[in-house]
Amino acid sequence: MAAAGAPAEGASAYEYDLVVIGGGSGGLACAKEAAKLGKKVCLLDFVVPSPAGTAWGLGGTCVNVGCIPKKLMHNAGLLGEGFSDARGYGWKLPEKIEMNWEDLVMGVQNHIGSLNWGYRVALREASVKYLNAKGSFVDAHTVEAVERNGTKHTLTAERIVIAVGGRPKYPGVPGDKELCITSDDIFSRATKPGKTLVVGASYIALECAGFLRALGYEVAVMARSIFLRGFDQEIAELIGKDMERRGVRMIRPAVPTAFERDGEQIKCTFKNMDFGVEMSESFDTVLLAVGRDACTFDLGLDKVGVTFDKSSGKIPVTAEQTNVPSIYAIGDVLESRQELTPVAIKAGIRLARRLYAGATLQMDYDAVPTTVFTPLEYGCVGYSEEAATAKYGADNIEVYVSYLKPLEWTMNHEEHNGEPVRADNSVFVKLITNRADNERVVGAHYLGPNAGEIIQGVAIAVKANATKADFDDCIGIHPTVAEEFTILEVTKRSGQSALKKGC
Amino acid sequence: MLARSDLPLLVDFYATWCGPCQMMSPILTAVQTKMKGKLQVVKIDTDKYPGIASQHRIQALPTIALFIGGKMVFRFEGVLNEGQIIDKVNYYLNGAAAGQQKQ
Repeated sequence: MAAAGAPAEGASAYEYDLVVIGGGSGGLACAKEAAKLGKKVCLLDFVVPSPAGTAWGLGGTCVNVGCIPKKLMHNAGLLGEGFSDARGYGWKLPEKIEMNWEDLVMGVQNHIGSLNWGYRVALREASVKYLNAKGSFVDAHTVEAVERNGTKHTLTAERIVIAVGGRPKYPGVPGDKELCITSDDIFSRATKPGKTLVVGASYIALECAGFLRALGYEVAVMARSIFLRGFDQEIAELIGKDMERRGVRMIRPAVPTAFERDGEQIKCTFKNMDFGVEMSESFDTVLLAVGRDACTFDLGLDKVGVTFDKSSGKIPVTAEQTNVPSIYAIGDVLESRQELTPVAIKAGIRLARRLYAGATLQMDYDAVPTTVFTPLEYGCVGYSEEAATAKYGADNIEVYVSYLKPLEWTMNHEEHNGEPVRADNSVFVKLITNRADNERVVGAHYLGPNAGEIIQGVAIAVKANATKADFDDCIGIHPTVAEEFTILEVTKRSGQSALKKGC
Repeated sequence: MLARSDLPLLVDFYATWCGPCQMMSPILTAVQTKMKGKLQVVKIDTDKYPGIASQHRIQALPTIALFIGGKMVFRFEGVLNEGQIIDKVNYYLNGAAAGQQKQ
């Protein structure tokens, strides 16, 4: 198939124009775009089973053990919360509503199966050669791919894209790999989790702890220090408090030192960081969420001279190109880049267009919106208050805040099965502007229901360089919580309280 | 196998994770019973045999395909009820028979 810019005659020195190692969000997007532009592409995808034995199909972390199952389980939890609300509105629901974990897992896994299938069909329709095989470098233009049954393929390519993503880290204490699970395992777990310990303070830890608690299980979170490092800390603390109100027990500051069998349960021995005291407690399930490493250690990067961080596995790139000209990288493997599906997808597509369609548009990693799907969701775009203060100086930023409660919550007087889960001022909005630049909005934060949907719209305004005046000029939609973004008045500088009073 | 069968083959391309596919199961059993001797119903798990699914360019599940003399004469994506399947199969079987008579 001829394409613009291809050699007029004669065979290419390479079997493929492009080999993509990794069939996740980034790899699939890049491979399909390159094929659409007429290139001969081969995509490799291979899942090494987790220590607990879990593996999955084509589609990468997001589809199989990330965003998709997470959002579905988070939603299952929200639906559970809704029964209490429904009674407030007059629906006569039974007092105790059962939750079947196996049904939830089956539904989630069935949907994932359809996504795996959809990707296989999409690759076939795009004429991308797909191999379920583990790739590693032989040289800068050659990749060896090994299938599960040992069959080897040697692929030569003009260019190679590394899109192998990451996998959960283990803390390196006795019993961690033998007895504990990670996010790789929870979404397909055959038996209900029961009393669960989640180790970690990342969004993965808090999201998992959140939905497990919402589904009715006893949950404890063990964190070494702060929650959600890198996110706005005022909001991170509010999230922690909200989770505690929902019954998640916080064991912090603490780190696990060992895991051992205790009958049917797992005993976790941990050290309290404040006092140095060691304690232990047993759980049905221990879910470790202590960070992720890039899957580059067995790629043969040393062999081809690609620079990478020896401890995290991450690869530094410039315009997604590594230090070896024929080798590129996108997605979670990148150093200093957001580990998000839409980031990997956009970077992959733009890279393919620059390589094969003469495009010049680079990937823009600034002001990337994101959402943490804890039971009380947190959506944000731009700088946290700490980062804005560091970048612009405290005198140059204005921080607008507001607390509120959604109208929809006001009918629920039983307060979610008798527990005061929803404080009057649970929802929090923060807008950060740069006074030295016409009050340009440099950070927008929303803690409350539907955070992802709300912040997506705000993010478009922030990317378009909106100012506080632009936000104030826009009329609010009533009655919503999002309209608060158009009527923000109270600044932290003024010292006034932004708490709403009254019942 | 598809090419070598004497009887017309009604192939059900399915997957274990596919809800509507489960609905087709009892329907196809009934069709097989009613058309015994005239039609062979075959189920192919597309996760176990991705090559066959790919070869026949299966896009969505379930896909029902009718093979007469090794050639695909009809295919449908989605759920059909017993009556609809039997009508379609008879239409093609009668057409094939008429075609043979003309020769």
